[in-house]
Amino acid sequence: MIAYSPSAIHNLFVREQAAEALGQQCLPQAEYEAILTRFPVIFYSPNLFIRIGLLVLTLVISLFSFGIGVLIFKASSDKFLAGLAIFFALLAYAALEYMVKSNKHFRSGVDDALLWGAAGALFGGISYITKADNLSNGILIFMIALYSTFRFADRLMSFVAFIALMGVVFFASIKLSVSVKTFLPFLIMGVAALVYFAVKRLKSFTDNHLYEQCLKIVSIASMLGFYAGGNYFIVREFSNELFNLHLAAGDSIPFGWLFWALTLIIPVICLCRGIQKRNSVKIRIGLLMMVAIFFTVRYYHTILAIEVWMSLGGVVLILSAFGLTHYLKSPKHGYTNIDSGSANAPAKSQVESLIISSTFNSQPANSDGSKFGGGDFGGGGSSGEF
Amino acid sequence: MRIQINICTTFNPNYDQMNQKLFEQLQQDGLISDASFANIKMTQEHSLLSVHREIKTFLYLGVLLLSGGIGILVYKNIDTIGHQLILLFIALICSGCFFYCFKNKRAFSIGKVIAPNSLFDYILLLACCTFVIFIGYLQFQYEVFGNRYGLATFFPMVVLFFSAYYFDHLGVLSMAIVNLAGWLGITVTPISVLTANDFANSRIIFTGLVLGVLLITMAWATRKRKIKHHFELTYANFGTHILLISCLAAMFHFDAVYLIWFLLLAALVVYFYSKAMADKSFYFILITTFYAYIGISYIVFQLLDKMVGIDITMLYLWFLYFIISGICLIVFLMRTNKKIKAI
Repeated sequence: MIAYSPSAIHNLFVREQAAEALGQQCLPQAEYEAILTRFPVIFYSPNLFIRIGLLVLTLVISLFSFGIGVLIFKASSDKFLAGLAIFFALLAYAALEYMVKSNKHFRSGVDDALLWGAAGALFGGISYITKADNLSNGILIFMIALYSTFRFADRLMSFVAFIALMGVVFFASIKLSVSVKTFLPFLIMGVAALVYFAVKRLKSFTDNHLYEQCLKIVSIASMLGFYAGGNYFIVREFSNELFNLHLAAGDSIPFGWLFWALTLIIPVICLCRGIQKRNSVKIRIGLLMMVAIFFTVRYYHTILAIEVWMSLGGVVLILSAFGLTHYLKSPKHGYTNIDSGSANAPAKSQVESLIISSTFNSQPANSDGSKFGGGDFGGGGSSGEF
Repeated sequence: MRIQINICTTFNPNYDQMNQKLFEQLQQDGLISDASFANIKMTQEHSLLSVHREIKTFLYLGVLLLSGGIGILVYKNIDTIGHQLILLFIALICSGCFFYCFKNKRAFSIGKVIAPNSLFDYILLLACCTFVIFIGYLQFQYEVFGNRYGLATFFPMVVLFFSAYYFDHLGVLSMAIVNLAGWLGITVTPISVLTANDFANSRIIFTGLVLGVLLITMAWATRKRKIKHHFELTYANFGTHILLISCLAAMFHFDAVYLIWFLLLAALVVYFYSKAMADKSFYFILITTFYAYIGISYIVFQLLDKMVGIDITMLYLWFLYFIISGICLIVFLMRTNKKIKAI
C-alpha cells in the first residue's frame, strides 16, 4: 500500500536513530559512519527551506496549469470547471506517483504540493458536481485523507482523516435521529476514545516508522477530540447553535454540571498521567487543556479584567518556571532541565529572536510613523556609532 | 551559519527516544560494538525526561503575558491610579530585573557569552520590555522629551542595543533593530513589514534602503571584526529583507526608471546569493531567489504589457510564463540544494 519501499524507510529510521545515539554520545563517530554507509538513503529530501520553495513553486505551476486549462477549454459553466478540477487532480496524482516512484521524492516539497493539490482539487470537484451535503463531504474528505495517509504516510493527512471521521460521526448522528442530540457529546468522546485505543493497538502491528509517526499524530488528535467532546463551552455553544436551544446568557444545558466536571477533570487526569508516566506528549496536551479550562471558565464567569489575569498568569508562569528550575537543579524522579536538543540551538535561538521581535511591543506607544513626518529624524541620530 | 530546524523533534516530543530492538539488531550485525550497545542500553534505562522546553515556554509566555498585562493595565488605568504609582510599579519591575541581570551576568566578552542560567534571558527580556513601557509612559504623560519624538524612541533603542551587546541576547537585539527602524519611521517586524508600511511613499522607500544597507554593513562588520559574531545572522536577516523589499518597492513606485532599480536589485541578489552559497545558507538562498523572482516577473509583465497589450493572448502568455519559470526555478533550487550539499 505505501508508496515507498519498506527497506528505504527502514534505512531512514536507522540513520535517525544512529544520529540520536551519536548526539547522546553513546556511539563513536566511526561506528556512526559505518551505519551510514551500510544504510544508504535513496530518497530525494532537500533541506527544509528548499522544500518550502519547491512546495510554493509546484503550487504556482499547478494553479497556472489549471488556469491554462480553463482558458483553452473556455470553461464557462461551473460544472465543467469542477470536471476540469477532477481531471487536474488525476493529472497531479499521476505526476505525484511518478515523482515518488522514479525520482524518489520524499517530503521534498514537490510531492507535498502535488498530494495536497490533487486531494484538494479532487474533493472540490466531486463535492461540487454531486452537490454534497456536510455528511457526504465528511465521508469524501475522510476517504481521500485516509488513502493519502496509507499511500504517502503524510502526517497532516492523518490528522485531517481524524477530523473528518469526527465530522462524519457528528453529521451522521444528527441525520439519523433527533433524540441523539443529548448523547452526541458522549458519542464524540466515545469515538475519540475508541480511536485512541485502536491507535495504541495498531502501534504494535506496524514496524513502519512513517506509519508510527502518523499514528502518534492521530493519538494526539484523539486526546484533544475527547476533551473537546466534553468541554462545556464547545458542548453548550455547539448545541445552542445547531439545535436552536435559544439559550439565554445565563442558561445552562441539560447535564451542564457533568460537562463542567469533564471540563475540569480531564486536563488534570491527562497532566497527572503524563507526569506519572513521564510522557511528554501527555504533559503538553494536559497543559494545553489547562489553558482551555481557563478560557472556558472565563467565558462564562467574568471575574477580574483580562489584563489582571494576564499579569497574574504571567507571574504564576514565571514563578513556576523559577520553582521548577530550582527543583530540577539536579535530576529528580526521572526529570531533568538539561537542554537535550542542543544540535539545533543556533537556529532555534534565531527563530526565537524573530518571534520575540514580532510578539513584544518593543517601541514606545507614541512612536508611530506619523509623528516622523517631514523628514524629522529626531535628536542626534548618529548612525555612525553602529 | 546554517539554519536547520528539525520538524520531527520539534513536533514529536518522543521522537528522540532510541529504539533498543533496533540497536540490538545492529549489534548482532556487527555494526556497533558491544561497548556502544551497553552504553545505549544504559542511557536508555537511565533516561531522564527533559522539561527544558516546557520551562522555557512557561518563561516566554509568562514574560509575554506579564508585560502585555502591565501594558494594558497602564493604558486602562491611566486616569484612576496615580501616575506616580504606576510609574513606580513599572520602574520597580524594570530595575529589579536589570538588577538581577547585572548581578548574575557573566563577564563581558566580544565573543558569545552563554547565559548563566535559563531564567536569565527571560528576566532580561522582561527588563527591556518594561523599560520600553516605562519610557513610553513617561513621554505620554509628562512629555519628558517634549516634541522631540525621535528622542523618545532613540533613548530606548540605545538601551536595547546596549543590553543586547552587554548581556548577549539575540531577542533583545531584534527588538533593538525593530526600534531602530521605528526611530527611522518604518515597521520591520516580520509579520507587519508588508502591511504596516506605505511603500508608495518615496521617503519610506529610501529610508528602507538606507536601513537595509546599514544593517547589511553591520552584519558584515560583525563578522569582520568578530564582535559578537553570532549577531551577524540577525542583522543580515533584517537587512536582506528590508533592502530587497525596499528595492522592489522602488521598482514599482518609480516605474519610469524601473530598469535602473532592477539593475540594483540584480546586483544585490547576486551579492546575497554568492554570500549565501559561501555560508551554505539555504534560508538566504530561498529568500533571495523569491525576491529576484518577483523582480523578474515584474519586468516580464511590463514587457508583455508593452508588446501585447491587455487581451486574452497576454493572459495565455502570462500563465505560460508562470508555468515555465516555475519549472526553471524548481530545477534551479534543486541544483542549488545539490551544490550546497556537495560543498
